[in-house]
Amino acid sequence: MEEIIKVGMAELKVAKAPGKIAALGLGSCVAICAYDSVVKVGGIVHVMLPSSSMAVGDNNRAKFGDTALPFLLEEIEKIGAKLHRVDIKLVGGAEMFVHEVKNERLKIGERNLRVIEEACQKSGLNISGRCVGGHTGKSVTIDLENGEVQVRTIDQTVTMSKI
Amino acid sequence: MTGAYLYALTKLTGYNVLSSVPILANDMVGAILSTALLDFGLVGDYALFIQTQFSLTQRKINGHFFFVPDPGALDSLLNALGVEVEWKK
Repeated sequence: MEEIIKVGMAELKVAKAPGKIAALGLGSCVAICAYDSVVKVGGIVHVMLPSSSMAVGDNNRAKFGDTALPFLLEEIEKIGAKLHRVDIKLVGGAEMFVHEVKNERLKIGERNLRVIEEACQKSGLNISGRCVGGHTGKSVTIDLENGEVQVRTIDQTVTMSKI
Repeated sequence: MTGAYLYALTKLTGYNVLSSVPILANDMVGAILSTALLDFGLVGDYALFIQTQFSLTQRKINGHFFFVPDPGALDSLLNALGVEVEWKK
C-alpha cells in the first residue's frame, strides 16, 4: 500500500516522492497545491478562512488565505523545492449552502479564493490550474511521483493536466 | 426534527436555544461539516458534537445529527449541562 498523507482543515503538509498528499472533503475551504517537478517535492495547505485579521488570537498560519501561501512556500523550500519552479493549483472554494437571500458572510469560498489569488499574484506565482467554486465538495490528491493532481467530487473524478 | 431537538436542549439547559435559518445540502460529509464549522475557525479549533439517537416506535432511523452552537455559546451550554470545561487551552 502506498502512503497517502492527509491534510486536515487548517493544516499544512509537504513531502518528497514517492507517495501522495491529499486534502479530503473541501467545501468552502481551499487547498493550495504546490509542486516542483525537478526535485519531486510537493505540498498542500488546507485553508479555512480568508484573512488572519478576522481571527481572535490565532496564529495558525495554515488556516488563513493571506498567511497560508507564504507558509507553504517556506516549507517546500525547506525540503528542496525552488520557488521559480513551483507550480500552483487551487482546488475548493465552493459555496456549499445555497441561500435564496445572498449573504456575503456565507460566501467564504469565494472570499478564500480571492485572497489566495491575490497572494499568488504578489508572490509572482503562476496558477496553472483551478478546480474551484460551484456548489460541490471536492477532494484533491497530488501524486508526488509525477505531479498529477486528481480532483474528486461525489459523482466524478477529474485529472488536472500534469504539472 | 431540529425544533424538537432544540426544545429538548432548552429544557435541559434552561437557555433559550434558537435555530438558524434552515438550509439543505447534499454532498461529501467533510465538505458540509467543515463549511458548517467555519464560524468556529475564527475563535478556536474545537467544536462540540453531541451524539444522539432517534427512534420511532416501529422504525429505526440511521444517521447523524450534528448540533453546532454559535461560537461563544459553547461554554455556557456545557456548564448548563453540567460538563466541566477543562479541555480549553
